[in-house]
Amino acid sequence: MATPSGLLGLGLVVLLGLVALFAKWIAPGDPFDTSAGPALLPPSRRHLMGTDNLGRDLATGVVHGATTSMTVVVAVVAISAVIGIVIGAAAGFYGGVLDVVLMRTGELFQVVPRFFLVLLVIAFFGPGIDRLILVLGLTSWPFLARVVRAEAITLKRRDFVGASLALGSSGGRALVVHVIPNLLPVAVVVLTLFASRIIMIEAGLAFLGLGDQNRISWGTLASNAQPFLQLAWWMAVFPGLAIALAVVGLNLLGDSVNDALDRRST
Amino acid sequence: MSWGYLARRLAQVVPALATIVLVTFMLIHLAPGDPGVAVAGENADAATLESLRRQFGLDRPLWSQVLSYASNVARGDLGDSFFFGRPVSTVIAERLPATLLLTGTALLLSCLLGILLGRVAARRPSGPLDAGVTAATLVGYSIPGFWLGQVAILLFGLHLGWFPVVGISDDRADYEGLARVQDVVRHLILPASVLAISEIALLARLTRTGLIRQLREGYARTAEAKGLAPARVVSHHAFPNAALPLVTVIGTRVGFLFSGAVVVETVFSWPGIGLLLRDAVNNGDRPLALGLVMLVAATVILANVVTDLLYIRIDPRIRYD
Repeated sequence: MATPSGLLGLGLVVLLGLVALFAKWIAPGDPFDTSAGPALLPPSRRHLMGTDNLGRDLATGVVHGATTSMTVVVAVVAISAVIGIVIGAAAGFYGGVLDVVLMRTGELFQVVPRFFLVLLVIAFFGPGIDRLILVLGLTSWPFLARVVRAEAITLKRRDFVGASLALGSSGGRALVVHVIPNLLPVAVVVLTLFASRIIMIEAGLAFLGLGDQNRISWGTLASNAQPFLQLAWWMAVFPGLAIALAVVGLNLLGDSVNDALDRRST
Repeated sequence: MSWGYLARRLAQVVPALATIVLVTFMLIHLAPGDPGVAVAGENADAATLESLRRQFGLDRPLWSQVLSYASNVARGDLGDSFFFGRPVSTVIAERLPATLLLTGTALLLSCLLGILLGRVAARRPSGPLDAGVTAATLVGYSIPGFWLGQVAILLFGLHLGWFPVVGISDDRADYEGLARVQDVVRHLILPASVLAISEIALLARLTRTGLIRQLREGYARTAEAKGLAPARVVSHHAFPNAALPLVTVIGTRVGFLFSGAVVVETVFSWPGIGLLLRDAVNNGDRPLALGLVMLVAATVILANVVTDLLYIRIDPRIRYD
């Protein structure tokens, strides 16, 4: 895991987490404050990323945007991790009819692509971070479940699980105590790569003007920049750069954890 | 490939299509207000509401409502877009060609360049070229489409002035024939490239991994040992085997291409169904949004079937009867 690219990824993800957690201290101003400076100022020492068409400070917006992005990512990852791990582990460990039913159900969840399902939900219920989290969380688990299931099938054939069963523990106990903890590394890889997808989806929706209006988001900032491309390149460049760095960090981290697991198993 | 397999494969499509109908039906019924209002919006006139209530059969039991809704969808009757005041299917049909041109070009570009880059990288694993391609694909896969589009507009459109940055053609000029084709191509290059980047990156990575794995196999080393040129080992022996999984992947990317198209069409004001969907959601034009999402979902399902059938045709080892 201690490869240069893995460390770079880890560094970027930690930085992202810190900025998201301490946004209020790093950039104390209100990202919606239109009196931060004159409109459309290029980057300067006073306004590191310039100001937008309404005189809002962009650097403040980008810092607070990290909080919005991370809120969505952490909530969605938590929901789908719980559902995906429980369903995948149960399907792989118990097999049989339960396995078939759970996996077929998972396939049905993937019929309507996530991005479009969220678009529909917004069309019917209006934009909002709560429904975004709910829809993405409830529809994103099938892929994780499939990976976890495959891992659970290999794990249940391993000696330590057999030994635990032979010593009289129930199937449920063996599943919770011995199987699930051991498939967590694989789940972490999937969830890391998955977090980068969630950032992209959230940013993409906000870019379409469908983000939560009460929260500053990188995608919203990029969307505001679109009419002013000719006048203010900085309005477009910095929010997008933040998204790209966050996604590169998560992908690098996920890839290197994956490589480390591969090396361990061969 | 037997007809029996084809029939069974098509039968598997039924639950997927049923899911689309059920999910959309649930959304209509869960939305605040009664379904007529949910679809037509708060400001719909009494006549529209009455026709919608009849369309959904609100006086009948729920199972009968689902059935009549499903049969309407199956016949392509998706109601009227209340923004355009015309049938949803007509509005979509007008805007579909622009999106097919954009996504088709992007798909072609990504196959050509992605496979080319993957082959270049696999020639010498861990060499400088490989490291370069690997880093580039990681970045290409991580950049959001709208940002790539904005930067492309800033650089190639506004700064260098090489390409037009808005729309599918120059409305002020009245081009005919070949000049018109050239005009559209000039408008197409930036958005299609932007849409293709992440797919190029993905295909390059997969081609590279597949080729490296195949080149380690006994048959590839035998071919090399008997004196075949390395390039020929790749093109005639390793690549055909590495290409098989790629076919499956390309099929599963159709949904991503469409979601990418929504964003890219918004950046470049490309008049396709992606921009139409963005506007439909922003205007609360629910019948149109429903129709578009159902079209995308059905296309994704169809693409998976086509991929499966293609896979069987090109891999002589697979025989389903």
